[in-house]
Amino acid sequence: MTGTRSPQISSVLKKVLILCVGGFLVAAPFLVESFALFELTTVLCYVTVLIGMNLLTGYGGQVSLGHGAFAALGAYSYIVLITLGVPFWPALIGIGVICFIAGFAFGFPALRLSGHHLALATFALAVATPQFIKIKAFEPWTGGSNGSFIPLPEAPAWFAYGDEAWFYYICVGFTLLSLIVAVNILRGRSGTAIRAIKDNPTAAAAMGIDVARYKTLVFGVSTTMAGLAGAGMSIQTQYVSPESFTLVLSIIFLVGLVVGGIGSLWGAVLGALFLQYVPYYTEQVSEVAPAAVFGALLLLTIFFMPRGLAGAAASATRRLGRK
Amino acid sequence: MDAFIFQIMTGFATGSIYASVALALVIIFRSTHELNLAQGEMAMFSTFVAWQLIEFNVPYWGAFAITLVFSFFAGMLIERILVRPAQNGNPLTAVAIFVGLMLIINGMAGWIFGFTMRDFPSPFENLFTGLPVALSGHEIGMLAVVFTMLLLIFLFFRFTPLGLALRAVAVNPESCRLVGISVNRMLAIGWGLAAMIGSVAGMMAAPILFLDPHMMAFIMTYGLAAAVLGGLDSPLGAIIAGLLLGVMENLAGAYVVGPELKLPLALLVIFSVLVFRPRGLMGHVVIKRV
Amino acid sequence: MSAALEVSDLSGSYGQGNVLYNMNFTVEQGGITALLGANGAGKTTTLRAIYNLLPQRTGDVRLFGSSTERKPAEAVARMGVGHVPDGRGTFDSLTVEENLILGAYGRRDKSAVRDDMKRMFGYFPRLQERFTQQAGTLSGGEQQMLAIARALIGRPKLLILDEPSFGLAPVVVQEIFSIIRLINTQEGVAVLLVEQNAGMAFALADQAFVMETGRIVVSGKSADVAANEEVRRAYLGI
Repeated sequence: MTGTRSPQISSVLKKVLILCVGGFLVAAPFLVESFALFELTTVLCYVTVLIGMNLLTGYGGQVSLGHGAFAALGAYSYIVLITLGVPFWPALIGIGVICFIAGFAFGFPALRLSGHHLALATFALAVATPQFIKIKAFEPWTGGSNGSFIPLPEAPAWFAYGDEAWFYYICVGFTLLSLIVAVNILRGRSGTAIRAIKDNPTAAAAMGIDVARYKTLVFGVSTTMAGLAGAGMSIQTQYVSPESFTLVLSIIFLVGLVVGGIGSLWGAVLGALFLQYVPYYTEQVSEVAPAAVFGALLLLTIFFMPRGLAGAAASATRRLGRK
Repeated sequence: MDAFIFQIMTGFATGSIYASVALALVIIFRSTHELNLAQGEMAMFSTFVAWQLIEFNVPYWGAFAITLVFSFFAGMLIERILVRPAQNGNPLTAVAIFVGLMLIINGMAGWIFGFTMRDFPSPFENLFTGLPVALSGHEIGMLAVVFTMLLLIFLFFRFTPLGLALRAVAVNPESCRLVGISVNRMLAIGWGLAAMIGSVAGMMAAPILFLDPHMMAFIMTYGLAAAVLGGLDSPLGAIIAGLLLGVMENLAGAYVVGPELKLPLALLVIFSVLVFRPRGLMGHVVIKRV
Repeated sequence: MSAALEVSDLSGSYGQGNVLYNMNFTVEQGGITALLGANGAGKTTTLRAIYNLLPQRTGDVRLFGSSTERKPAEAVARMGVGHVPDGRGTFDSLTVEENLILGAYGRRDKSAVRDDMKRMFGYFPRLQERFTQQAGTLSGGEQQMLAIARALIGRPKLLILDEPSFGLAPVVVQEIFSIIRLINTQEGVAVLLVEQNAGMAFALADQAFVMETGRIVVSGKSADVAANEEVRRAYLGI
């Protein structure tokens, strides 16, 4: 009997949780101060990146150490498009298209790379990214190593709560959109195909699944999300520089992915919260070496909580339901 | 023309550093099929240890020797406590372990030694000044040290029973166990050796680059590129590719793309090799079974 | 005198569900014992269990009277066992010489190894011709010889051969089996011969055990087992 009760409790819990989170997200601009709103917007951007990485790694089984590079691509595409006079919304669509094509183009050769090789190639991509941005020829657009200022998009006349809140709602919208896209990909045929490919690519191919198509598709979707989030982060800080997109950013994404939980979309949310709020505490632990604390947390997660915070939360609610 | 030869020679000198890092990566890759992304950070930390010893007035070569021993045991220890327990065949686990290791070592180096750039002495500064070559004293000494090291490692692998056992583990681990070789011990020794080789690269590069916790990022990228170009499982390939990349990088930097595109060049090498010729210059074809 | 190998109540599994059940058999010192059975009967799994290479095993395995309990495979190998694995397990990219040196890895008396190498060339003259060649370039029969020589050069008191006839032409198998006989008498080495090819194994062995699905179903003197029509038909397909 207890076994049948547990899914009910966890599904009720889930509904309550979704309602609370949804309500909070809508009300946030009226509840919290502007700095907290700023943080929340960053969290949303992290969530978007992590959903994309989760699709790639958690469901697709490919490891990327280079999603920071695609975030950079998103941010700088935005600057270029805006400088060319493209309005805000078309510019966002433009970023999506550019990052999808770039991810698709990168994902196509990356298909032939398994496990470590892809990690290695994306690692090199992340290391090289700041140098790409600093290329002299692009300086009129990128601002070179000095960086570049980005205007926050203006809220329309009917929206009375200021540009920050407006941009915050845009980010909420995009995060929800990413979530919906991810859920739709994972449900149904494409989800089955992606999981089959992760478990055994050759057998999947033998079953008639177009491995190449799905792998590049997933790569493209995940880089699109990274690109949009990268643009979002830069827009809200209103400034970008090559130093915003070093290897560290890609590593931070990976930490969020692992600690949040692989193979779970809730993991993306928990991972994002971790990335935004835990550094305050890690800096207290060690003011000069927060990276070391981050690294230690990453290793602890791998060894003791291999399914991350989401996995731990899931087994905790399951235990709760059994009682 | 002189300038051209000069570019080739300095390229050769930096290439020897890439070759060392690539060799360290290959030694680990051959036996475990994992790429130690933290190799550069390990080398950086070792170099800081050497720097600290020299600050404590230990003579240069004494500090050099102590650092080698330290690196060897630190490498073995890392293999034993972090890498071995996490063997589960999931590429994400391995990558996350190496990334965690990178973060920890980098943070610890900054914490213990600080993030400021430091001078690192060269024992060859005032040597070889009268020679009719365009290289600096340090570059000549560096080439001598690196090539001596490579020769010693070659002799070790080729002519000692331990070296033979290390090679055998890369070929057929189960057969090794059946003739009484402890594969675990060999893997640990491989990590120790790799850490030691990396530390030599770090100590030789530091007088040129200045020492700080981010010193090895650039070298590591080229080391990776060289390991990939060499074929990942070929030590000789890694060394040749490292030297080749050093020269290529210098020539391209001087005549083709300019210094700002040096890293993207390494990326290009990695990517084109992985895509068009995954076994590199001298690697073996890996046939995967389903 | 304790037996070279004594296996009592050995059971084992790869995780869930046993694959070996209550196996009992011995290999006397200086004797030749055959472990027979069809493909999939569990012969190689039994050997893996002896080396503690199975995830789980219960029961007792003794080599020359000492237990192998909790010892890693490499430590078991150093208890006086020379192993010729199935598929030969030679180090293909290493030379014949290097393969032989590795066989003597556990030995302290390195100076005597060269003499033993010469002795091996007495049994297998072809290895001397191929001395500096990579093992991967050898023919199947030569690789099998190399694997046997590599096992013997560690000076074992028990030689375990896992399917030495596999994939070899009958003439070559004949040659290898007669060398095994020679080695057994000249070196005083006990032999555990694991085979699917029962006909030749019966001729060589004094004791025989027949396995089916993880159990020993028949055991006895080799000649008696060989004469048992039912065994031949039911378990060995001959």
